[in-house]
Amino acid sequence: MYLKKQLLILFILLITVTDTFSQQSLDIFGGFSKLITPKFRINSFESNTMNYNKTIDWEFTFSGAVFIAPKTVSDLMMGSVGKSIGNHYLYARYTPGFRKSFLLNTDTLVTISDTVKILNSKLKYSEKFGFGYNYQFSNKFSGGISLRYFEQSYSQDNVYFYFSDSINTLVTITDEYRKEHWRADIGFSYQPIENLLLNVSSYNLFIFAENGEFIDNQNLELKVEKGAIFGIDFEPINSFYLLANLETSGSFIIGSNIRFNIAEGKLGFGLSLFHDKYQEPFIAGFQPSINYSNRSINLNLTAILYSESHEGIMPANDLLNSGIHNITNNQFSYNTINANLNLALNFKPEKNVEFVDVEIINEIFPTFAEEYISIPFAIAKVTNISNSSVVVKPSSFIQAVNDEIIFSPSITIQSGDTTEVQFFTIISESKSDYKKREISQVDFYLSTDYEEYDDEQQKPILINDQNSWDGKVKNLRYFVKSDITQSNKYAKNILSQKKSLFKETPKPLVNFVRTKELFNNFVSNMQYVSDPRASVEYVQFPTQTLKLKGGDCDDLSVAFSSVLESIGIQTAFVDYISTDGISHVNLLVNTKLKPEEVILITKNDKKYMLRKNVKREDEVWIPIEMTSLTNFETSWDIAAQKFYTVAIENYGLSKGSVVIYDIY
Amino acid sequence: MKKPYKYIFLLLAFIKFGCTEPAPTEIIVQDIPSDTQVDIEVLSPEPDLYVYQNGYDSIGYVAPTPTKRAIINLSGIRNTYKEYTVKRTSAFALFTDKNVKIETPNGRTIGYYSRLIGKVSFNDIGAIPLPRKVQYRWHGEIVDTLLGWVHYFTQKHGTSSLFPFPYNSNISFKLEPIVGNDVTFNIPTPEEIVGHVKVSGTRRDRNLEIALKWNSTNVGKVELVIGGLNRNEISPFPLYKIRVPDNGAISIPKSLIKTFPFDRFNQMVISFVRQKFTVDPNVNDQIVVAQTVHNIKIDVP
Repeated sequence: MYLKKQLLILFILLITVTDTFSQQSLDIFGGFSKLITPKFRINSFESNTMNYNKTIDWEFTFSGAVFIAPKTVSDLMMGSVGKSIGNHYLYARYTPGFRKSFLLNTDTLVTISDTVKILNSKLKYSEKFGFGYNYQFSNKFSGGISLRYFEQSYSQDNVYFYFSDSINTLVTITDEYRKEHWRADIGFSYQPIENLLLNVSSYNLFIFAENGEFIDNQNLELKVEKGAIFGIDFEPINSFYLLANLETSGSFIIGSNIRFNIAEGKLGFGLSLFHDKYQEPFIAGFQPSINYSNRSINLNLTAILYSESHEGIMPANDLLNSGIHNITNNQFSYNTINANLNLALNFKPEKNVEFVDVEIINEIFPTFAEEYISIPFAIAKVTNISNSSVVVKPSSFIQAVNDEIIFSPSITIQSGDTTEVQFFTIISESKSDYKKREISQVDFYLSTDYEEYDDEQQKPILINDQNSWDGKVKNLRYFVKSDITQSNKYAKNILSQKKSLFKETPKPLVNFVRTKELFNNFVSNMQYVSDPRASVEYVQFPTQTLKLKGGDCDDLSVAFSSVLESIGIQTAFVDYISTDGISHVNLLVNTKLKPEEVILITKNDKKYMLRKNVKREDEVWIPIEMTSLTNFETSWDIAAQKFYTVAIENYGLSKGSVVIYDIY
Repeated sequence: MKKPYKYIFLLLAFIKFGCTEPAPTEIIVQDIPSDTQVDIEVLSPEPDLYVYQNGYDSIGYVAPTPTKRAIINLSGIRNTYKEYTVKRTSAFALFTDKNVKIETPNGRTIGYYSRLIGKVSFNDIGAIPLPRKVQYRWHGEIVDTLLGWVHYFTQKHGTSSLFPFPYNSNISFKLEPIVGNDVTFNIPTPEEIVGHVKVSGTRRDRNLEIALKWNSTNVGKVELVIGGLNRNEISPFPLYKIRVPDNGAISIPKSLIKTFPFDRFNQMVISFVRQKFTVDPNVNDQIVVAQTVHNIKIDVP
């Protein structure tokens, strides 16, 4: 339901911004979601104008590229440094590889004294360096600005005619024009929920300090049309990310990432597709990426592959008519493979919270699998050591019973506070057959803003075998439910032999007669056998009881309850709690008789009790003693007498010394 | 952080050995095949030696120094100034004797002596023998020199209907030599060229632009001859020639306009020339050309 809601939000957002999205935002880092590797900034101004990041202290980034065509060469694309100071973040980058050059062959030949010279022009665009700043207004909202410096040059071979008294001649001279400008953009990011990040940013919002121009060739200057980028990063399931950036120009980039734990780090794969208004075909190219990161380094390898080849000699129309809008990604860009290295140098604590203590409050009984989803097996005391409130995501991994790390509900802890954090778990059915008890290890983790865990601890925990029982009657229901198929087979086999009896039975009495017939058959083959002395109670699964033809009170109650439940007859356990710690269990069976119909089975109002069903209607339930092993009437009488005396006359139900536990 | 030095070393190695700017993207500015290029050629390289008084001879056969033994030239000419256009036909046949070289006193070749070798007629209309004169400069003085004779025919249209230039057709040529057999053949003529000159901007504002258009055939090339003229002179001074594909339009490079010697000339003459060459295997070392020329004289703002 929660996932559906999130997908709906994403869909609505996509619909409302269909007229937007981008090619300014193609990042040489490979289109990884900003929700991942928050400790490293694996993006730059292109897809992250607002400088959203979770860098802890210092970070250095180096990016190189191999240009596949027209001749394979490598180049240093970028070096950057980032530093976070409280809620402020400063960023600077040097981008020697952000450049694009053109050789314009005019096809003009000049013949001078029998020599021929070709007139050419050279066009160069480059982005030299930039600065960024971000301020974290709250855990959910931040905004920032980026400043970038651009240089362009245009050199043109021109033919000049020189006329004099003595000689007329043509000469060629290279004229050069230069232009520089600064560009400033702003952006904001908002994270309404943990796995959704929305952002909006401008491009070419402010162009200032312009100097120079391409005289007579202004059409070749870098285009600086204003626009906006709307971005969504979404994590629908754990470690799987969807992202989209849409530009008001009509361009867009969409992609997905997935990440795995590997060798003390994380390995990620990504694939993005981008549409550029100024490129053909509609999907101008794609960007596969691979990423590995651990606590100190991040390595990124990404390719930018264009759908159409940009190699060879290109016609001039595209350049002359529309120019270029982006230096690193345009209709003339070459296929590239980019390698990026991030180094984190942290001189601050890499955690917001830490464990004070962890206490195992419940050993694990594998048969009670559902129990640990709602009842914690461990409670930790956790302290927030940061300067602001943080949302703590507790998680744990029990080696013997978990296939993966299990996350428990998040909790917000104020700065300086110590709070109890509960840990829940899910028992894997495939992990083990739980034939014997063992001591396993539990890894407890705390995580907050950082991808790595803030703190972790390991504690031993007892994993019981599958027949172990904690002595709590309410948990006998897990044994009942675990083996329903065999019980159903048993019940059908017995009832099929009594078809003629059931034909004559009035409809209201069907459940009662079935219970009676099944009970008489069940006890006729059973013997009462006490549990062996042991430190932990042992409960047989119904199949085991039917096969062994015997058991103690718990085993017989569980087995017969399973038989009745398997054919749709409701049962409940009556727990008679004694002061000496030795409990006794009876079974309650729902006859489905209405109060006015009880006369059909008994005139003694002490032999039954009324319980309301989900429709708030009274139904007749009867108690059965499973250890008498005589016949149905006797067992009913024994159980009814005990129930009336202890639960009713002595107010056992009111006092809590008698508790009824429904199986479902 | 684990062993950062190893990564820094790799990075420095990458910077040292790996930084090469990718090759520029090559762009063809004109969307035309590479074998149809534009070329520019100066036409009057030695004004201190020759007097380029012959006006427009875009192929340069006559002035200053013809290099072929036999030259036959037919021209259909339109001269336009403002709204006025005058048409005329011109034809000549020149037969040079390469054994007789005419030189200046200091040994510079002016040309070869040309002779009358018989009777020449175009479309059965006889050409007139005329003396062939050239002028050159010697110590600042203009010196007249006779370079022989030329078979010449000219006629302004409207004054006679005998020989209007037949565009996209043929003109018959006949040579009745003094010695030997007659030589007769047809000379094919090109489609008439009609040019248009659009001038914008001014010299003073240094934003003068000249865009040229003509009726294109999209076959072969045309020549655009740029020349200067003073109002009190008759013959323009040819400066340079731009040879372009016959695709109908071009803008004269701004650098050439900027450096046009406006201090010497207050008018420009732009000539559109489309030529058709004929090769006669019976005559060696010859050139036979029929051309259509549209001269447009403009006052430069």
